[in-house]
Amino acid sequence: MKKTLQAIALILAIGATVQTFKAYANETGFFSAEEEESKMSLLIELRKELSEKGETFFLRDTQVSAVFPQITNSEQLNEAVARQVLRYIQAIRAEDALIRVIKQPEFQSLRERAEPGI
Amino acid sequence: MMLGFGVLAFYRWQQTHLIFFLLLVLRDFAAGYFFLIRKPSTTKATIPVSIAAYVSAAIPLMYFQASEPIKSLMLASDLLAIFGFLLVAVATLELGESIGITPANRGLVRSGIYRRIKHPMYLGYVISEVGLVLLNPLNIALLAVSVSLYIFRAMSENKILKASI
Repeated sequence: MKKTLQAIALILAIGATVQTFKAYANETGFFSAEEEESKMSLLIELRKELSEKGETFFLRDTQVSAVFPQITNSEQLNEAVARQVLRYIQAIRAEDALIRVIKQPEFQSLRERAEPGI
Repeated sequence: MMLGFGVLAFYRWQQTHLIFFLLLVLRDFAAGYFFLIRKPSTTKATIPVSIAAYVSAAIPLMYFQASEPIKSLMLASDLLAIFGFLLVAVATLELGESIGITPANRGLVRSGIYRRIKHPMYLGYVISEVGLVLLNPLNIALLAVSVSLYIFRAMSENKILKASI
């Protein structure tokens, strides 16, 4: 049992290391501002379409599906929008500004939800 | 308390999907379980030594957050945290029922990682805390206090265990 749990700990540590390197590679990779901007516009269009047609609208049936195949419902769309906004911020090298802004009192609720517990 | 930390680590994993938190879940629940079933100690540390041990255990929670996030330093810090807590987890599982915060004799463990490193758990903590110094230079003061206390705890444990051999 002890050896099994130690092996699990080792596997988790290896997994965490791989995940950390992947995240670093994604974050430091080159982002074209124009490319991220056009993806952003597509997502905004999709969002508009969704609010017009309601929840019965299938996201898979749109042109955007080729660019964002992972989006199949409104929750996934929200997540993609949030991710894309951050990618755009990275592309225009505005990460420091984002960190400064998010510390402002008007965004306190975002900070508290992002960092609960220890 | 360790079980509470385990629950928090699980919550953080659910939020972030960072595998590192699963390593913390494993370590914290294992430590919590061993604290519940651990052996009674035959020799205990004095009250000042016990206080020093509890202060030492609380210091990692006092470190300052990253001052200016530099990606390469954050990467190094994350890797140190992973490696440090791998050592801590492996040592916790090896110690089993002999676990404790204050120096005490609950049976000497000489198997597994303890065959090669005398105090792997403290070494693991120090490695992960060095990562926190990379994120914020102010943390160097806390690291100095922390390392001094780990050395003090290790020396107290050695003394108690030597006396009982």
